[in-house]
Amino acid sequence: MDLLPSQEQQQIVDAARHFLEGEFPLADALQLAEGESRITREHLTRIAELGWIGIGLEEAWGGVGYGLCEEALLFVELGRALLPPSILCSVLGARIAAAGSTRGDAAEMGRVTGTILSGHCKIAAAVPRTSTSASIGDVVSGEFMLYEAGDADFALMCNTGGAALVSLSALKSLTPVSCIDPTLSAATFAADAIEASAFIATAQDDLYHRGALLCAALLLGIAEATLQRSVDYAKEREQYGKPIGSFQAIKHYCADMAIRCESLRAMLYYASVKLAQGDDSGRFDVHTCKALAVNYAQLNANTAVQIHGGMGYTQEMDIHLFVKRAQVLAGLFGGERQHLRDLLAQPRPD
Amino acid sequence: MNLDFSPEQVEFRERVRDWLHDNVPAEKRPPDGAEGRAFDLAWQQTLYRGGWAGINWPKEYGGQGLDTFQQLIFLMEYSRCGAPGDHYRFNGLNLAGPTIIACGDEAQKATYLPPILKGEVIWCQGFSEPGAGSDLASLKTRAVIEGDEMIVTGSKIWTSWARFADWQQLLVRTDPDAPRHQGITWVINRMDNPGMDIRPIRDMAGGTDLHEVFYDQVRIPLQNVVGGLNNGWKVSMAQLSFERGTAFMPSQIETQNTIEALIELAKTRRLEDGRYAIEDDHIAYQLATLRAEIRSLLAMTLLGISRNERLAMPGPEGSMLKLFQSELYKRITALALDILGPDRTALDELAGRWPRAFLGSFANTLGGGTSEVMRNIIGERCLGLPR
Repeated sequence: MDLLPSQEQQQIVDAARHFLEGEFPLADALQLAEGESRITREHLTRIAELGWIGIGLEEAWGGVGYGLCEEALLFVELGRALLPPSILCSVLGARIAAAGSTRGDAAEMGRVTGTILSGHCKIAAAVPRTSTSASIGDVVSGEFMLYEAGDADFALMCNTGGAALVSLSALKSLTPVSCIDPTLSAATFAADAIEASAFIATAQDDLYHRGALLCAALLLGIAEATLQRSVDYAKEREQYGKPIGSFQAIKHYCADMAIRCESLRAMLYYASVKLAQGDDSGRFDVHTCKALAVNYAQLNANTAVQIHGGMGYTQEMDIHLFVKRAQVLAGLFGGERQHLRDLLAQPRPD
Repeated sequence: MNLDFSPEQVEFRERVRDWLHDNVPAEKRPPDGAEGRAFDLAWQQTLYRGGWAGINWPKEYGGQGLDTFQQLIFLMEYSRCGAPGDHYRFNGLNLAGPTIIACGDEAQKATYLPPILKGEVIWCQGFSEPGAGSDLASLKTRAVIEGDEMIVTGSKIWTSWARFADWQQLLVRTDPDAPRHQGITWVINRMDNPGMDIRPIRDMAGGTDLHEVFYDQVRIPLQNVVGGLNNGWKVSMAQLSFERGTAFMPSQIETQNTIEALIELAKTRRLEDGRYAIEDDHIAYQLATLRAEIRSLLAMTLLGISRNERLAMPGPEGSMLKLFQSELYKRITALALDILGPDRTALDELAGRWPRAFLGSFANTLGGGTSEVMRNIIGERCLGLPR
């Protein structure tokens, strides 16, 4: 038993962090126009060249052949760098397309799998606005919130029953929404029995729980990034002739943020291993992980604003971007309440 | 990242499970006092005879010399079958013993370690003083060296189990002129030493396990000094890292049982409006959140063990576990009272163990370092924030 990443896994993390810090400094995001994506299609192909989109996909399907643990570790870094959720959709979309390629329209889906893995296809996240009215299967109906539709080719929608790819051209009337997160575009749409390009049922590949876990990884990235920024600021910023980090009021905020990071990171590792093993408790642990992630990332990001004082409230610093992204990710692949209900309904885990 | 146990570890778990199944006493531990002491020592003797005392202690002092993972497996099985808690044995097994293993000389190890494992002695602690709580380094209990003895005068407080203990790990000031962290000595004291007076303190949960201990010219041989004269601060810091590192592993694991018991309670207790407590959204939300956080406590414990395997000493991250667990425990017991409704005020069988547990839970965020001290340690030693 060793819950820490292996040397090889740590290398993946270090390389990803190095690349992201060099290529996607958050300062750039502050210069973007509202709704303008941080990653262009060129960026997406560069990311794909690194093998990130197929990192956890089996080699037989054109993936890199690592597992869920490596995927989760990578997504912590993507979350820290605030890369958009469309990358998560690409990772899951490749799995849907790859599985779909073994069915009816094999040739077309094989081609789509290739374009997703090579970064030539962008996938927007479609979140059911009410889980009761949304129906996701070979045919899709319901009302959705769509992120990053701008230059996307497909929308990915997912619930506990399965995950579907829908061609964006099949969606008729998108109603643009001004998004809380200025680095993401958003729109709503209503689908009335639209045929999906591909659908995969949970029994075949559980993308709902995989997506929830990776979303939790993105949120851990936010929790850790806001802790780091807060600690750095508290060491530097002086009031009353002292660094504010020497005051217990600030120090104790930071300590609580650090515990949330430790708790969430431990839970992410644990849930990744359990879900990858297909353990009975794997889903319980994913529910736990996503529920904690939503709660902790929001608490850390919100506390970071307070620690940064008046400057934290401005758009001259990047803290607000974490607060806003945490709100977007809170709703993806099941919210906190949904996951809490699900974990409470389960028998005592092993 | 893996959670796999080797075939040997799986076999070890089977042996632990079988032995516990056959040997865990059926009767409940009697309340604290002389009967509690007798029960605790008898159980320790059973563990010793069965070859399960001191799982990770060196073999030459009666331990089993097993690794951290075997300790973890043992504790998980131990908790699962509801075996007796450490109670009076806590200090010797988790604090005094490990400190003597880490800092004691050969004679001290041979003298003091085996009786702990054999269930012959109970240990207690003399650290805090009326004027030195969170600011432990300001302690004033004075020890004057005279020949091969020290003569101790002063007082200690919050000494758990003092009336029922045989030995005490005591911090005294041996050099009042040195900088405050450098004039302190860690010494072993006999609790039947002449010149001592022990006053029980009644706590808010009704227990009398806490004490104030007075020392009037108490003579202690210098050979009882552990880790060298005036080096007591370093020795006690090593000890506190056990206390905040691995010493609470049993209670971290036990917390899983507590939340599951509370969920069961919520499924069987009806609220004033006739619904089962778990059907109430507000209660269900809190139960689920606690279940999630306690699941992560288990993951944190495993992550901590994995980290300790790569490092020599438990790091300051142990403070996070201590803080997290103690605050969670308080929330669990407070929620239990909410679920009990009007029955919450009953201190007998009507409300079960919960009201007393609620009252007792306040000790968890005070003893072994307050939550505020823990947050200072995390801020300064884990995050590098200025003092």
